[in-house]
Amino acid sequence: MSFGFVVSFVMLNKDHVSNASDVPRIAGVFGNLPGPFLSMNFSNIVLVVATILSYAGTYLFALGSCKLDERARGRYWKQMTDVEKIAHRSWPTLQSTRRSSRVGKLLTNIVTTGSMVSLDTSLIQTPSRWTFVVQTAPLWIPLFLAIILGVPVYLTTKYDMPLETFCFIFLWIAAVGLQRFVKSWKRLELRTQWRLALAVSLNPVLVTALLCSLYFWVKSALTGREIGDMLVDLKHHRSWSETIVSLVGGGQFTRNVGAGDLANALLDAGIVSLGFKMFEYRRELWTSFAIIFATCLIFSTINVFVNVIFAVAIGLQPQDALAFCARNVTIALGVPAVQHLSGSVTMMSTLVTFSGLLFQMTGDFLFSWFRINDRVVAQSTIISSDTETGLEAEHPRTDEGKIIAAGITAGINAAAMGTSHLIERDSRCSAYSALSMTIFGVMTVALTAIPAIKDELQLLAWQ
Amino acid sequence: MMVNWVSQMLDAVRAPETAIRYRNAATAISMIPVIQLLIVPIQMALDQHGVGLPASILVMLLVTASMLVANHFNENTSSIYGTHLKGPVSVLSAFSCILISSWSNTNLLSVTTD
Repeated sequence: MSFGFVVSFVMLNKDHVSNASDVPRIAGVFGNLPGPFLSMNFSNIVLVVATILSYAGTYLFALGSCKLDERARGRYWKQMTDVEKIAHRSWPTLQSTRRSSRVGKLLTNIVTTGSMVSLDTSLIQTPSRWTFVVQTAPLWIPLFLAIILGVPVYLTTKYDMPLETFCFIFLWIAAVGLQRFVKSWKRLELRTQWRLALAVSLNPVLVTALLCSLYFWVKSALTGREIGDMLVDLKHHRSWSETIVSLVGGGQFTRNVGAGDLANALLDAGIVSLGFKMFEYRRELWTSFAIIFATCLIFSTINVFVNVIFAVAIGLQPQDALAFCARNVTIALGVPAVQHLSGSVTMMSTLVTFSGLLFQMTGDFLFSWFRINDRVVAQSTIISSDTETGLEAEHPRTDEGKIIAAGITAGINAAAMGTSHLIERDSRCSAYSALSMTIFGVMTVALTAIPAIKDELQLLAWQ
Repeated sequence: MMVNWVSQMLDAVRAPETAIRYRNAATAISMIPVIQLLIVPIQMALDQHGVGLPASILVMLLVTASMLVANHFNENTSSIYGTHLKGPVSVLSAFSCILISSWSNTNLLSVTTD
């Protein structure tokens, strides 16, 4: 069972598993993860403790920095004054005003529509069959295209990019829909713990990874092709620049562009879109830039050394121990960092994926546990730099520190997967997370490029 | 009968929320090649000079800087962003996860079957 858990993680890195010896090596690190069916050993305890310490340390440091910053800017006293004003505010409060305005709208509706019967018909609209079809189109369009376009192209030309692209999009959307369905499943309404556990275990990334593996196994059984060959066709190049160089050099399109290459373009677009998100929250980021920068600087330095010490304590091989120094960095930045140290890229990418999945699975629970009110409440109160009003009313300043700290913690510990999870849940932390992820990653790369630090880390790993 | 179906479908597509969703998705898809136009030359330059940084991260910072500069000179930039780009950007950010899933197909399968 633990191997199955490992498989889904290792499979996230097409490029980095080069031989069979990698599999048991990685399984050795994750082999006996704590869980109801599994036993604990020393290495797992160290790994779990390291992860918890990293999360807790980052959060507490960032939160403390926010408090200090508030005091330094004099916000603290202003806030106290504001609270005092709110406490002595005369009736009605802001919330009750909103409620009464809603009641007013309801009354207006009754008056204008003439009767309660007409009000009912205006409010309750039975969705037509076509409305359902249109709303679920993102699910069936890829499936439809896979059948009418992907399969014929594959059968006639043996080119599987269209088929795989549409299949993976379908699987992804189905996995996302499945998790949403479970979250709102009425049969489990009274068993909230069960529902939460089921929703967490049906993480879309995990489910899609498993379904994609299943897809390849089925395809291999049907076509008789080696899975290795199919995977080579899935993703030919590391980046689109390599693809274009190859195409310009006379390479065939079908030999250079696979579904994985297209997905690479999508990830690039996703990363660039974080730049827009940072612009959206520019004022908040600007006011907390010093906190983000300081936290990233301190924790990238600490992580680089402490993680290697942890890995040595677990008893890993030197190359694997060196991979631990970039275990929280997004893979794109972790690869150059580990390559500087001659560490194992396989191990690094597995660890990064593990950290990201861990946050994706536990993030919602942690946010509710720490009572971090991070969601964008309504369209009318868009919480961004372009909104001058509504921010303080919906989210008191006391939450700001928590939100900044949570964003930084997610960015530093869960990198890109954590940030994308925050975006999915409409979190105000996403911009902080994106910036932290970038600064933290760049700093780790820079640190590992410094000869003195590189020598020290290699000494630690080889001792 | 057919006309009725088409009419119903068009009505469903024209529903404000659905129309916005589809417009955002279409804009997001069209942004992917445009973003690659920025990334590819920078990545080529980085590869040529042996710099091991991903161009997408640099372009992300470049985009933020450009938007900030544009907003400094023309305050309408933020409202234009809010009107036309915010929705597609959210779609792109959310769906970037698909890559992580597509990476799920690794040599491990071939390794385990060897």
